Amino acid sequence: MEQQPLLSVRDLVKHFPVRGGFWQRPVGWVHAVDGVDFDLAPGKTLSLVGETGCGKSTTGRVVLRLIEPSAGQIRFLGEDLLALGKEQLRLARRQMQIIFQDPYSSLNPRMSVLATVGEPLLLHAIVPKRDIEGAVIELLARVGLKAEDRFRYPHEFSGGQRQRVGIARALALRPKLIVADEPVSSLDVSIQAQVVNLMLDLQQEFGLAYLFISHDLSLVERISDSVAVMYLGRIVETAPAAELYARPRHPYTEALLAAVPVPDPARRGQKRVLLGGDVPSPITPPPGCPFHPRCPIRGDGCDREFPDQREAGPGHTYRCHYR
Amino acid sequence: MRQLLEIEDLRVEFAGKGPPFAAVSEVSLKLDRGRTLGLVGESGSGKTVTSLAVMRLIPSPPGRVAAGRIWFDQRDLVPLSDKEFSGIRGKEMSMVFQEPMTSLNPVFTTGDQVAEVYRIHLKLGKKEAFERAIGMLEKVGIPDPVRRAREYPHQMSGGMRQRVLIAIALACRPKLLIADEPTTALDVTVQAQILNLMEQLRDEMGTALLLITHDLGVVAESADDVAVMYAGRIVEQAACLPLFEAPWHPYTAGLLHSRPVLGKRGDGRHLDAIPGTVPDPKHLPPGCSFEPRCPRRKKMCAEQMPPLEEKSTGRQARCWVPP
Repeated sequence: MEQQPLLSVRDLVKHFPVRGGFWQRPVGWVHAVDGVDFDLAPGKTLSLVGETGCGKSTTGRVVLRLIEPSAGQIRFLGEDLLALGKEQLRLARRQMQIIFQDPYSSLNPRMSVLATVGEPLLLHAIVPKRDIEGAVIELLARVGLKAEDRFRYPHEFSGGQRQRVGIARALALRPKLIVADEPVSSLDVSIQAQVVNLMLDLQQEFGLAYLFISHDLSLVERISDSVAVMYLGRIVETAPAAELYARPRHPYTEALLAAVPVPDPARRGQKRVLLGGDVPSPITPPPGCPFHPRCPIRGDGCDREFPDQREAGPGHTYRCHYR
Repeated sequence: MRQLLEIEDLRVEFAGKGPPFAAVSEVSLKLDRGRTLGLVGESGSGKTVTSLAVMRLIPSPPGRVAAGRIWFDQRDLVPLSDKEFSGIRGKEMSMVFQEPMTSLNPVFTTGDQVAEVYRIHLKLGKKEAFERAIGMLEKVGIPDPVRRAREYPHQMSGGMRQRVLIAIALACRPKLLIADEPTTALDVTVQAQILNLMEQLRDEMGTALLLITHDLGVVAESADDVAVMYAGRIVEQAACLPLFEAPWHPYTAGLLHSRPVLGKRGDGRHLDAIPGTVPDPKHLPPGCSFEPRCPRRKKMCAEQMPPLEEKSTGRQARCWVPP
C-alpha cells in the first residue's frame, strides 16, 4: 500500500505582478510557477531541478507559505495548508523549515550563534528558557560545531560553518520537512561534500524529508529518491532518481543531462548535444509547450497545446507530445 | 625559444595588518599557442591572483608582485612600465571574468563596448570600429547582431552578456585569453554553448587559453594541461588525461572524489569529503599546507614543505608520500 505523502502539492500557481506606469498598476505577470504537482513521502528526498528562472525556488517558498500562492492546493500531513489561520500556520511551521543558499546573507550578523539557533526554541517555547543553552550546545554538536562556537558571530565563520549554523537552526524544532534551496552551491567543492554528508546523516537520524532545490544534476542524482525537472514554471518530467537518469523521456531532461560536464577527459570525444538559445522570459512564456522554441523534436501542435501528462513507468511521468 | 606564456617562481604579496603575506608563491606555469591550460583550485587557492598578476591587475597597494618573472611572447612583463603594458593588455592578452552582470558598463551599448577596443588599440574611426564590432558579435554567435549591437547589457540574458565579453576580449585576436570562471554564473545548457564557442575561437585564432575554474568537469572537457593549486602553491601539474586517470597528489585525488559524477551512483549516497578547511594564508602550517587535511600524511609532512618535483614524465607534484 502506498504510504501517505507528507507533502502533496496540486496545481500550484504563483504569478507575480509586473508593475508599471504612473499608478504602478500591474502591466503583466511573471508566470513563476504555472501549475505544479508533486508528492513527497516522509523521510525521502525529492529534488527540483532546472535552470535559473524555472520557478524551483519560488515553488520551495510557496510550499512553506513564505510566499502566498496565486492558486492551487498544498497538503502537509493531510492538512490543507492554505486554509490555516495565522496561529495554526505558526504551529505547522514547526514541522517545516528552510535552509537557504547563501550562508552569508541568511544569518543575522548581529546575533550570536546561541541567539540564532536558540530563537526558534524560544519563540515556540519548546524548551524552558533555562534549558535553551543546553539544547543549542546539543544541536551544534549534531552539526559538527563546537560548544564554544555558540558565543561567536556569523562573520567569524567560514561559508561551510555558517551553513552548519543554518542547518542547526532549521533542525531546532525537529521538523519533518526541510526545504533546502541550493544549500551547497555557494560552497567550495571540498566543503560541499562535508555539508551534503551532514544532511544525509541528519536525514537518517531524524527521518527528515528534503525538498532539495538544485541546479547541480550530478549531486541530485546521488542523493535523491525522486527528481522533478522544471522548465518555465512547469514540471516537465518526474521520476525516481535512477530511472530519470537512466531513461529520460523529455527532450529537455535529455539536453540538461547531456550538457553536464563530466570530469573524465577520456569521454571528451562524445560531443555534447547543444541546446540552442536561451530560456524565454517567464513574463511572456511561449504558448503551448513552453519548451517548443528550443526543442529538437518539436512538431505539429507543440506551439498550441501544453502536453498532457504521460506515464513511462511506475512514478515516471512526463509531458511531451512526441515521446 | 620560450613558450607563449612562461611564469617563473611568481610570488604575490598583500600588505595588511601585520607583516605582508603571500597569496601566491613559487608558481611556475607554461602555456603555448593554441593550447588550453586549466588552472584549478578552491577559493583562496591563488588561481585568480596568478591570472591578475599576468594581466597586471593586482590592486596595488596592498598587493604587489614580490618576485618572479612573467615571460609573454619572449619578453619579461614584470619590469615594463604601465604605459608599455597598456599596449599589450586588451590587445595581445585579454581576460573574461566570471560575472557577466557586472563586467559590462550599463550605460553604453554592447556595440560601443566592443568598438572601444578597436578605437583604442587599432585607432579606428567611430564608424569603422562599430562595423567591426558588429562582425565580432556575429562571430561569437549573437543572433541579429546589427540590432543587438545597439542594445544595452540589461536587455540581454547572462549567456548573451558572456558572449559580448568574449567578443570584447577576442576583438584584437589576442595571443592569450585568460578566462576566470567564465561559465560559473551560467546555466548548464548555456555553459555548454560558451565552452564550445571558446574552443572553436581558440582553434580558429590560435589563441592560448588559460582557463581558471573550480569545476573539474569543465577542465576535463576542454583543457590540454592542468595545474592544481592549493593555498597559493601549485600542488600538481600534468597533462589532462593522466591527471584525471591517476592523480598523484592527495588533494587532487580528494577533489576528484568529493564530487559526484553523473551516471555513477556509487554504493551509498555519502560523498568522499575532504575533512577540515583551507588554511588561512596568514597562518599557513609550517610543513605542507595540505598536511592537516591529508589522508596520507607522515611525520615529515608537518615539518617541511615538499618541493614541486617531477614524479613521472610530464607530471610534477608537491608531496612527500607516493600514492
